[in-house]
Amino acid sequence: MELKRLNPSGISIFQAFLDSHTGEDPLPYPEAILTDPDQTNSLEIGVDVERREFETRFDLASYLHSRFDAAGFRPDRSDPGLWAWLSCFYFREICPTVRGRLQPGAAARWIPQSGDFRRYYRHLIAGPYGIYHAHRDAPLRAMALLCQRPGRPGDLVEQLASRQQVVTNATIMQVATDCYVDPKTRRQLPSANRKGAGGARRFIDVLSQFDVTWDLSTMSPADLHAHLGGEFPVAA
Amino acid sequence: MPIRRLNYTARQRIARSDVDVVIRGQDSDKPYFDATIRLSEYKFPPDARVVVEAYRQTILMRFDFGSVSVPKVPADRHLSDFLTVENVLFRLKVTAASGRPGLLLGEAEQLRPRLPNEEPQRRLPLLPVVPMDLDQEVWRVDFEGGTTLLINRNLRDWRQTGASNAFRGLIYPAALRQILERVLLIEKHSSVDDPADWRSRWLQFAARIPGSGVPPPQGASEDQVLDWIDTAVAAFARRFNLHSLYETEMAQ
Repeated sequence: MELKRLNPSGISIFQAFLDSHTGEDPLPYPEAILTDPDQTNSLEIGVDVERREFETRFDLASYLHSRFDAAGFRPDRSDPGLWAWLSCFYFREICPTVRGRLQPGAAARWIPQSGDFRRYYRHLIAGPYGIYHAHRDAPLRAMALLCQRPGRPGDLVEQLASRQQVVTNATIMQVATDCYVDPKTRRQLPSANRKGAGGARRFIDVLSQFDVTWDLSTMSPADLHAHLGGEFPVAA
Repeated sequence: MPIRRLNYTARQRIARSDVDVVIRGQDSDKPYFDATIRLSEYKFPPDARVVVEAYRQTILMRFDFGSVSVPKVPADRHLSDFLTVENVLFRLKVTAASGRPGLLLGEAEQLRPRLPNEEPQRRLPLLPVVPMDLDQEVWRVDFEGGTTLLINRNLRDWRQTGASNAFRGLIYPAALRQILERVLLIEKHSSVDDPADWRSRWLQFAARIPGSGVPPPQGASEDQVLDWIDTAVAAFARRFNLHSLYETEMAQ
């Protein structure tokens, strides 16, 4: 299908659909708005995307990156209509369910917060895409933030992606992936969710202290591992 | 409990007045920046490296400005990774090249660039006002890397609204309360010692308002913290005569 932007009217319809899931009577999926010329605007460049399942945020981001690259399209991450269209398009593929019921969660996960592009990472599509793009030279290093299911990013993503100096730093991303992603299965390890020693929140606290002392951008992953010591072991 | 960020290595805070970043060609498809950096007063080692970073969200561009003794302006200062330069911030880092390479010797954070026709900013405002599309919200405090008062750019005249006494009277006490609650109750930060830390700077600011007193110590009960915040906000409103200014403006 040809990628478009939802216009304000289209976003309102999608928003009403999302809001309806907090009540007892959810509205039907508004598929028609994806192609309705009254609810959408065309892009400057033609980009085709296909409906498909994505096991991880990495798969989703990698797919979109390749589609955009192939078309020579450079998406604006502060473009709410574009990302709202994409999340509406993939809604049924990525929306979590609980006991068979769709649980979309906060609207910001689907429709970028208007203009608030500091919170980009909460969007279920713009978030992983932005992280993948930032590490496009070696995207596997950012698996700590991309190994999760598209609809369930979780606390590790919240902790790391919300910090600009962390998410843009290749060394920190590699070390976080070394510590929190199983290298064989590429799944997140339970240790990331620990509240105390070794957990992601503690990882951020320790990095905050290092950040006062070192320019972490100049440090290699091996150096940072050495500084972190045994509290954050490399996943075997 | 969050760790206190301790400056064990005597990293120097580089004054904002010593770094001036100007964005040029903002409306062109190839915006770039010029940076004027004054480091002669800081006694950094001559071989220390000087790096300027431009950043926003997941985008970061690093520019090598040579060393303290041999500054080098990179030929390519285009901000090409940014689709627009709106809300791009800069930081300056001076790091050791010998001894303990990578050691951070000096830093200036959250540098807001200016346009060529604007005056240089000498001080870091505690609560810069930034226009944004906030849908139906009029204002919001953003805590990303500090505090920013976001104001809805779709207001008829957001600059005038933000500068009006009515807006200040209604919004600023609420924003101060929200910020102090964030610092003391959510982040559980009680140190006033680190002038580079926005949380310490807010506590310093509030503590200096006549009538507010010393911030509650680490481990104070939630009631004690809330009482101090109430006192500080009331003192703030008194200090700036917010009620009177509000009434006067609304009467006009």
